[in-house]
Amino acid sequence: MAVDKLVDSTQLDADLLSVANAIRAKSGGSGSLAFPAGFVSEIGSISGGGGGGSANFAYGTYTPTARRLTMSFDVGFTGVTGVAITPTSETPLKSGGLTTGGGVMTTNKYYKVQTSRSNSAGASWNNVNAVASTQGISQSGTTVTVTHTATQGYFEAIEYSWFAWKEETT
Amino acid sequence: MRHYKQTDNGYILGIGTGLGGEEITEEEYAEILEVIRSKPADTDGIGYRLKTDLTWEPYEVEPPEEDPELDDAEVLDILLGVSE
Repeated sequence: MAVDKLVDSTQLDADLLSVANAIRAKSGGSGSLAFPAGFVSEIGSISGGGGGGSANFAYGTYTPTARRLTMSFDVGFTGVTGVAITPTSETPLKSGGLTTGGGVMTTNKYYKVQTSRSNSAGASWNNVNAVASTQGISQSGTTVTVTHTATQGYFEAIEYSWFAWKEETT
Repeated sequence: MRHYKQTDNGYILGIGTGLGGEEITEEEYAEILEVIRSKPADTDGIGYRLKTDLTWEPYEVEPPEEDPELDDAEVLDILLGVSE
């Protein structure tokens, strides 16, 4: 059975804020950005934006054709230290909706955001990620693969937004 | 915005925006998305995968592995710490 770690919500908030600030710095905006749709929209407003990113930050969407447990996407750089995935239509920042775990990049930290859709009532998440210590996120070249260890996996016809970044070391 | 499709051996695994995959036009992206949204419902043991010609191909889904059922005696042995 996978053992999750509790998310450091303060750190997560700080990291998401730093990403939002970076986006606003480029877009010239000043309003609050709701993750992920607000991030996507704001990036799309930047000239040249709308899919891609920079040397240390990438984003995109992915819609699987069938339910599966893994999702792969090209981030365009190596050394990813963080990935967030969530259905584009849903906000992940609900109580209990975040977990973090180890994996290939255990020396760094990453956040996996809820990847299952909410139940029919929309009242709660179906599942938070149960990330086994040896599973989770791996990277081969510039391609990142995120394993969803819950049985639900990634749903067909659901568009997921993903964000990947590489933290600078000083 | 760059659109792409991810294919493998004649099947479309997914579509997306961003880097990677095989670049497609926004129109093709929308066409594939429409097909994905009309995917036939999986039934017991039968799933559907999308071919690159945008038709759905049925295939047999392997049932998930289940944990072995323990009988009462085995459960009792575990509770009592009895090993074979």
